[in-house]
Amino acid sequence: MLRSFAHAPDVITTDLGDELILLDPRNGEMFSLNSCGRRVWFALPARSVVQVANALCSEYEVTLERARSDAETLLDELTRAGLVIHDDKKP
Amino acid sequence: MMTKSPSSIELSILGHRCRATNAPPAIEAWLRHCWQSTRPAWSDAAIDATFLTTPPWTRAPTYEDVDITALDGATLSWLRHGPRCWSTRNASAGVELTLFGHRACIRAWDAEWSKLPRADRATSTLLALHVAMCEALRGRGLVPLHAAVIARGGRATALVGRAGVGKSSTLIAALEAGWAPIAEDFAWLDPVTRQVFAWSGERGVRLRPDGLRRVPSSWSSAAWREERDGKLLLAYNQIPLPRLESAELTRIALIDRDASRATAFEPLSAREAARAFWESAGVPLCRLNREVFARRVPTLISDLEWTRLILGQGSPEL
Repeated sequence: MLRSFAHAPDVITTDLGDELILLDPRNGEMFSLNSCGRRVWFALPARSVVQVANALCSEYEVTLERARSDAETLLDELTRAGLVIHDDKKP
Repeated sequence: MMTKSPSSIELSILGHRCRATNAPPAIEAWLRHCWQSTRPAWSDAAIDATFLTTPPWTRAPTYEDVDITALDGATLSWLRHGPRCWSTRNASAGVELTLFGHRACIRAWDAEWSKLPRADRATSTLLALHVAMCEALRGRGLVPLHAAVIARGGRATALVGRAGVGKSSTLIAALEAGWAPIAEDFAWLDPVTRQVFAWSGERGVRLRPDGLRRVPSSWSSAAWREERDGKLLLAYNQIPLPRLESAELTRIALIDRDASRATAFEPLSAREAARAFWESAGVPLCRLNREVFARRVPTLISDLEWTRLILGQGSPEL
């Protein structure tokens, strides 16, 4: 199963350069992403976690396996918070 | 059959031209009292407001979602009809807002305009009109600030923070120290020029009754008058320093309270500044307005001085 990811509509971002602030206008909650999380955010929309992991590998000295694990964890958190939406497709 | 031609008034709202058609007397008074500014209008018609006695549609239009605007102590539900149009839910009285780029069209209806109290924001139609006016001005690039604003030497400081934290008592401490007032609770910021403007709807400084204990005695004995909501009002004309129309915003202070320590200023991180700014400015209804503002926030965070003011023992030295 391939899972694609995109920003949830209406999420507001404030880019501070080394940090990204996300605001969910539906409930006023704010979230902060560090530089690595910021890179994940700007890799969206993405057709798969691997595509996001590749974006991380192009910027940081990290193995694809580690980047994939980190991206997967963050995307799960962002999805649970309603900031990212995903779509499952058969390969 | 003869029909009465609509009557229009034009006024300048922070330099933006507003045309109000068929405004009932109470609404005209509200527009002139709360929104009309002395700055001459330089723009084309930015806000076109029409006042009706029946809804502008015969069948309630469909909507795609509900957006909520949070106000100081209240919330308002808006039905979103596509990306540029909102209306309130009530068919007997309501407001519809449509944004066309930099221009806004507002249609407000009420079967009983004559029963509206004089310039009183407590009614839901006036509350919705207030939000619609704010959104229209956001479309012109202005940012509403829930803040007390003081100025000295042409430079302004905005005091922000949650309701009841001490913005008004800090404002009075600043006035005692020679600062001039611009706003007690609500002001407008032009993020490009950094000019912060007074909102004419404010009448003076308002305090909760227990806030009087926190102001110097020369102020606590002034001509405060109790308002309908229980707060005390000291009209601007009772304040020795005249209120300023505008000044350049250079500093934003987020107020916190901690009675266990001395009053002090502390640095505020960029993350905390971003949160404080969004909370003070609120979230625009329109996605385009949000995107425009979101692009400006990082520059404002880096260019303005941000600080946390802990209110504890002793008066703040602003």
